[in-house]
This record gives sequence, C-alpha cells and structure tokens, in this order.
Amino acid sequence: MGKASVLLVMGYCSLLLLSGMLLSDMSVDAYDNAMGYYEDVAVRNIAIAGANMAANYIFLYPPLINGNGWFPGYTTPVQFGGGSFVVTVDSTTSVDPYTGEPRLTMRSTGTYRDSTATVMVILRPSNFAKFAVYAGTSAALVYWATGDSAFGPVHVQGTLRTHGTPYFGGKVTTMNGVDSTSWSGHPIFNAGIETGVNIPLNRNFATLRDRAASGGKTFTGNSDLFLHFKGDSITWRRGSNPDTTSLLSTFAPNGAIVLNNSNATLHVKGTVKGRYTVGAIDTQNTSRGKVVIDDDIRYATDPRVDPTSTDMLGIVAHSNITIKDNSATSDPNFTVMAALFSYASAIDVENYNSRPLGTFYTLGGWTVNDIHATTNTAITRGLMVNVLFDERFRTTSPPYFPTTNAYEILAWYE
Amino acid sequence: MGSQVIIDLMGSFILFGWLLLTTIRVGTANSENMQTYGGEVLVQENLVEVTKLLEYDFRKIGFCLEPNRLPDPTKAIILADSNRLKFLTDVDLTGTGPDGIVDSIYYYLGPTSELASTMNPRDRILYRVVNHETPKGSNLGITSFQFRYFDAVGNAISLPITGNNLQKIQTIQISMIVENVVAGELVETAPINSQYSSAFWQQMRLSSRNYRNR
Repeated sequence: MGKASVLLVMGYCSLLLLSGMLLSDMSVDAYDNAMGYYEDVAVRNIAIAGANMAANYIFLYPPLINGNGWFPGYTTPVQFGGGSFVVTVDSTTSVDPYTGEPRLTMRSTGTYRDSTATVMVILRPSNFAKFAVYAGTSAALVYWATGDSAFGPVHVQGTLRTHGTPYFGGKVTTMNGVDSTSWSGHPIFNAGIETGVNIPLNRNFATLRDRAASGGKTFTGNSDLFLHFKGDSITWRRGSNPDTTSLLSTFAPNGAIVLNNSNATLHVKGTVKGRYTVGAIDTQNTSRGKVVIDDDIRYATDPRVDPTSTDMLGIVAHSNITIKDNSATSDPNFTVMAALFSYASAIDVENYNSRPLGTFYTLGGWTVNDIHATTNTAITRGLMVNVLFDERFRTTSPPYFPTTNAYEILAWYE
Repeated sequence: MGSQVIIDLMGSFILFGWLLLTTIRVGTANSENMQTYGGEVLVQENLVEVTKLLEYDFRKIGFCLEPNRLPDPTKAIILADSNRLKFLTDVDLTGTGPDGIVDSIYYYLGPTSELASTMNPRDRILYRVVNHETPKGSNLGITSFQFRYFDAVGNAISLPITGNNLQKIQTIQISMIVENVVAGELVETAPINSQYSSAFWQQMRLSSRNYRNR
C-alpha cells in the first residue's frame, strides 16, 4: 500500500509536470502567434516608411526634371524602427503602353528580424491633362455656383469660391482652401478635398517643341495654319494657300505638331485617329500662340463607347483657345474631344453675346489660367459649358502634353 | 491480524481513495484547461490568419500593375454592405506577382445553416471569391463580420451604399469575432455551460493607398 501511494504521488506529479509543459507550450504558441503578427506589421511599416521617404524625395527633387539628377533610391540599408530598409528606383520596369514613356518603379524592401516585406510604387511625370478643370490664379477668382458640376479631378490655384451647392464628383485640390461662407450653401465634395496643394501653371512647352522638331512637325512663319484631321490623314494649309493632304503617320510620326516663332493662329478641327498634340507655342506675348477650333473635333473611336480607344488629342496654346462661331453652318452645339491647355489666357467663345444658345461639350479637360464668360448674362445666347473628364487621362495623356514638373503616384502595392 | 491492522488498512484505503479522487479531479481540470487553452490558441491562430488575409487583400484595393487598366481607383469598390465587400484589384494568381490584369475579390459571410453540423451554433463560413470562380471558404469560427465605411473627412457613410456614393469610401472599419468551433465543456454542467473561446478584432480605419493616388 505504501509503495502504491508513493507511485500514485509520483504519477500525480508527472501528470502535473506534463500538463504544465503542455500549457507552457500553448502559451509559447500563442506568444509566437502574436509575435509573428507583430513582426509582419512591423516589417510592413518599415517598408512603407522607406517608400514614403523615397516618394518624398522624388516629390521634392523630381529626377531628371528641372535639372535634377537621377535618384537611385536608398541602396545602403537605412536603420529604422528596429529594422532596416533599402529602396531602389528604376525607369525600365514599367512603361506607359499608350505613350511608350517610361515610368518610375520604386521598390522599398523592409527587413525586421527574419521577416521581409516589399512595397512597390509606380510613378509617372504628372501633367495637366489629369484635371477635368485646372483653374489658374485668375480663374480661381470665379465663383462656382449651384448647378455647376465637375466630374473629375479639379484643382484651383488659389481659393475655391463657391455660391450655393456646386457639385464636385472627383477629388478637389486647392492652394488656399475653400471660401463657402460668403454666400449661403456649401459645396458637395463627393471624393474629398485637399488644401495646401500648390501646382503652379507652367508653360512647359520644351518637350513638345523638341519632339515636334524631331519626329513630329513644326511650322513657322506668319500665315495662319489650318489643320483638318481626317482619321489616318490630315489636310492642312497655310493662309490662303491650297490644301495639302498627308498621311499622319508620315506627317507627324510621334504625334507632335506645333506652330512656333509665329504671330499666326493655329486652326484645328476634324476626326482624330491616334494620339496627337497640336500647339501654338510662341510665347513672346499674349497676342501670339493662339488656337481657334473651327468646328467639332471628335475621336474616330469614342472612348465612352469603347474604353480601349487610343485616340486622344491635346490642344496647347500659349494664349487663348477660341471656339469659332459656326452657328451659321451647323447646329448651335459644339463638341471638342481633347485636353485643352491655355497657359496665359482662357477658352473663349466667339460671339458669345449673339450666337444662338447651345452647349459646348468637352470630353477631356480644361487647363486654363482664366475663365471667361461663354454666354450672355441672361443665358439666352452663347454656349453653356459641359466638361466631361476623359478617364484615360488619369494615367496617360496626349503626347508631350505640358507637365507639372512633378511626379505622381499611379499605383501602390503593399 | 488485529483490529489495529484493520484500522490501518481502512485508513490506507481512505487515504488512497482520497488521493485517487484528487488525482482524477486534477486530471479532469487539467484536461479542461488544456482544452480551453488549446481552443484559445486555435481561435487566436484563426484570427491572425483571417486578419492577415484581409489586410493583405484590402490594402490592394484599386491597385493594378498596369494603371491604365484601372485609371480611377476610387471606383474600385463595386459592392459595399455591412458584411459584404466586392472590389477590384490585381490579384497574384500564379504566385509570381500581379499580372496587370484587373481582377475582382468578393468577401461575404455564409449563413449559419451551412455549419449546422458543428457544435458552435453561431459559426459561419467566410467566403473569398476571386473573379467568377466557385466560392471558396473555410470554417475558421467566424461568428461576426461587420464593415463600416467612412468618407474622406471621417464621417460614417450610411448603408446601403450605391452608385456614386461608393466612390466616397475612403476608409473601412472591420470588426470580427472568431470563436472556437468546438466548445470546452465543464464536466459538471455540460452541455448547458459550453465554453466557446472567442476573440474580437477590429481594424479601425483600413485604407488602400490607391484611393488617394489621383
């Protein structure tokens, strides 16, 4: 009996020891589990921190823009948060299939203990085609009122002034905030608003000019230039000279067509097939560098019908872009499928006080320094404005469209 | 054998019996504890796995390796409900990385009736459906799975969210309760007092960076 009791006590002790070990193992498992999750979070945060730091550098000193050198990233491990990260930047991994222009691909690899995580960011040089409406310093003085709406990104290089309840379907950025208190009502920001964003309008025509001179088409001289897009071909003339029709693929293989060193006006109309940017880029004064849109401009394939359409047009003017009064020959409405850029002025509607009332439809966007009246005060004459953003311009643009001198993030993978 | 011996024997039997009963009781309690702790570890592991999966997927909402194919990430969420979410992203389908093709991921919670055979009456299957594949799910003991959605300034968006209002979503709050699918049962009162280990997890404001790209 004594021996049995001793055995019983020993067994009892063994059982407790075994249970204790198992319980301890479970506690260790739970701890390991929690630590594993913590490590995953920590290493990801380190990689994100590296990506943020490199992105910040790229925004402050955009590589290969404004004389900046190339930024290779942080190739030597940077100690951070108990771990480290390295960042690499290349311009070969990602290429815009529409333009063939390289994007930046940034990879930030974080290391924490034995865990690694990678964040990949794709960036591109930002350009003004990405705005449904870009309102420069003068245009910023205009009030947006009830009934006004913008379906796409809007930037106001000043204070966004509102009267009533204008609607902004896309993200809005402003340099100096919003003034919605001077009048009743408040604007509706469907995709949010960010203030303190400074995107100065710049006449960054150098790339367009250079590409037109090499691989595109450059016109000089003081006779007006008339361009009539006709799908694969273009009919053009100078002043009252006879028309010439050329195949676009040989006329301007890279899509850049400019009128430079000229006090003449560039006229444009027609059906666009392919990717082109036309520009009147003489910057000597505001009486030069003008564009007149003589009649409707449409894409051969409407991207609203077929989103894979690669047809796109940029119209760049140093001064104003005028919508011709064509009411005598066609219906009062006017359609322009293009991204419009007026550096020093605005988009004008010819005879807006007398032409029959119609609507000026834009599929693309307006980048303007100023906004001028397009109808008379009673809105019985002229053209009302309807700007529909071309969604493709969020990630791509017409060739060599003026850039903002900064990079923007296209995709963030973590 | 005298009476003293009989008393010793009886004492020994009583002492031995008492020790035996104690041992059995301790063994039972240990078993219960092991079951409870084991269940809790299991719950924790399930919770971490689900959490990792959700965070992995949700941080990629609106991402595409070829950005031209998903130009407006604010339109990436195509269905948002209290316990359902469908969005566009670029899924790593082959294990070699994203391929630049836009995919959809649909998360939803199945009904409790699907898991009527399990001991826990509340557990449900969390489904993750990529593109149009047959719904796949596993029973990880999820008993509650809730989404709340917030706009750019942090205001909660009321349900149902349809049309353009889907573009207002900037952050998502995810709340989840995971329970053990098998209860730890106290011997004295089972099955009335079934003990289901549970854990609650909440991601206060999960946001994909791609929302704010453009």
